[in-house]
Amino acid sequence: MTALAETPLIEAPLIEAKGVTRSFKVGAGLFNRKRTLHAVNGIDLTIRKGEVLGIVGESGCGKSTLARILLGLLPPSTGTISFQGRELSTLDRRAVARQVQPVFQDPYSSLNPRRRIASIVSFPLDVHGIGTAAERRRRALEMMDLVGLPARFADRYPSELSGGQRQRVAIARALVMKPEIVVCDEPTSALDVSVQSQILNLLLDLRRELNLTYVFISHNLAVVEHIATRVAVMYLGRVVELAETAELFANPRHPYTTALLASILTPEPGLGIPETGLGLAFPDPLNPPSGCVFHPRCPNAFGPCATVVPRALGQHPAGLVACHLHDPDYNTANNQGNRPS
Amino acid sequence: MTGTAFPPATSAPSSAAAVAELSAGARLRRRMFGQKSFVFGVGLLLVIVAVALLAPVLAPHDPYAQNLSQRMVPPFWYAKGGWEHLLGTDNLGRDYLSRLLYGARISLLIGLSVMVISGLIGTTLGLLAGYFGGKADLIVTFLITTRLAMPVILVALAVVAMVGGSLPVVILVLGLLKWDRFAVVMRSATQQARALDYVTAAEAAGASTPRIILGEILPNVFPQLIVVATLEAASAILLEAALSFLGLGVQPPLPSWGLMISEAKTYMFFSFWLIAIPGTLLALLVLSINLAGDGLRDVVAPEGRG
Repeated sequence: MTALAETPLIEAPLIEAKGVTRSFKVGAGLFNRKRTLHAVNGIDLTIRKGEVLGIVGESGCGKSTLARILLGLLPPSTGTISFQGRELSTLDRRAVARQVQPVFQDPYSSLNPRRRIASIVSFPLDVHGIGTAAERRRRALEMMDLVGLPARFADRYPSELSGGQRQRVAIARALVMKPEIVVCDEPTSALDVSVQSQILNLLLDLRRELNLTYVFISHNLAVVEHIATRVAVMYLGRVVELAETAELFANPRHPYTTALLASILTPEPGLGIPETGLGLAFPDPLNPPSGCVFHPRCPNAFGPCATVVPRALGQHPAGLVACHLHDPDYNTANNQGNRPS
Repeated sequence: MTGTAFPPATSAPSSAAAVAELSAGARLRRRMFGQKSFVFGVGLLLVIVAVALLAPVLAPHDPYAQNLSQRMVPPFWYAKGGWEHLLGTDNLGRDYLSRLLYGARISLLIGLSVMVISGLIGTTLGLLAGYFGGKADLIVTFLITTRLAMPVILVALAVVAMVGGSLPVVILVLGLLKWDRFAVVMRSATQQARALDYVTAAEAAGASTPRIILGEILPNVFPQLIVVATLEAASAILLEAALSFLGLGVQPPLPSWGLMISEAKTYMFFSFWLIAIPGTLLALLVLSINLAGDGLRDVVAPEGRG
């Protein structure tokens, strides 16, 4: 495929998120005051048609909350999400459902154990009243065929299938209504290593065949490098760096991205556990650090980091980085890579 | 539970094929008849139900016909007993076997109707609280706590004493009082099911809330519902017996097993069987319902227990 053939695949923005935050009230007891947890804290994202946007970050950084927001299941506390130019909150839930569908992490809990496979796959069609019962079943069987499930599974229950087969069922259900976007929340991390690559390649094949857009959430950087065209790195509810995949892996700019890349395990046994320089302490999300939320763990932290929230610096057509190291207002003396102490 | 619930992914093709060898019906039969307690419970329950339904055919005498010359006849295995009244007669000379047969109808009717009424109330409240959480949960939890603070038998006694005892009153009072366990169990089962991804998937598919609750959650909490329902039916039967024993339940001359025990208590030391027979039947009925319910849960929910 030439570069010219690739270009039209990525087009106009499908989803635009502006300043999206989502907070939860937690810890409310009889005698405790409620505390606010900012799971997602001011995210600007544009998802363009045809791309695979990888979202990476540690556990608890707000990846899954963001996924629920993008699915229209959780209204953002503040900020707006627009879908093909239309405000998500003005859209009917079912209209959103026709465009955005999820694939979940755990294929054991994502399939209703009391439904047969064909009924699980055709469930979205049932909900939207598309076609007659026979047509819905036919489409479910087509979909099962597309994801590589034999038709004899149609009347089985999920408990009779393996993890990889179940995940194929989940993918078939997500695609049966021909959505624009599939939000995959760690779709391979619950699977055997041998099955992971099958599912990833299936997702890539389906993307090409059906011209899909993926939001691919993962904490596995190797998987993201394999599948994503663009990667957003999240830390404590914020996007700290966003860049094209090759660019991000070759030239990480945020210290957190650098640490994440350093954390990738190698198959070389002699090398031991990689040193990230992050320490073990993930900050308390209920009481996030001042200034840049990453500064207590940052090996490059300097003057303003503890007090000033870094702004997002768009230095790349598709990228941004939120770090004072790259902000000329704060880091005039030192260029990128130097460490003021 | 997780250890046995899922076949290991690697062996799936072969084990799936092996499972497929057995038809669904064969597997169901294997699950049913594999459990002796379930077979025993259902068998006994079916016998009692059949006897209750066929009472007019089976009963050798009119259960209400008094014959004062034939009072306190002992059952046939006593020297004074006879084949005319197999299980003897009570203090008014009524045939005890016939009264027991008709009494089974009352017990089953009460067990079933109380179960349905309280089940509807409790399941609805539990599903709503578990699904919506937040304020709905607070309200339902408050209702449950309030209900648990009231002793069933005392409230039932007070109401029956005010309104007057009769079969419909007993059913209604018990039905309105015994929903608490349904609500407690359904609430926590729903909370668990609601957190699973298939519910989120249904939401993401745009399914309406009633559809998710009734179509996705209810079938998955049904096994727990069955267990509670049978426990509650058994407990309602016992409560009716207790109320009737206290003279505030089913009113004479209706033959209820509890009432029969109550009427016989004066003659306990001379005519032991008058209490022992309905007491034993009551215990057997409750036992059979509990065994059947426990086994039924395993039969309808094979996944999750290997």
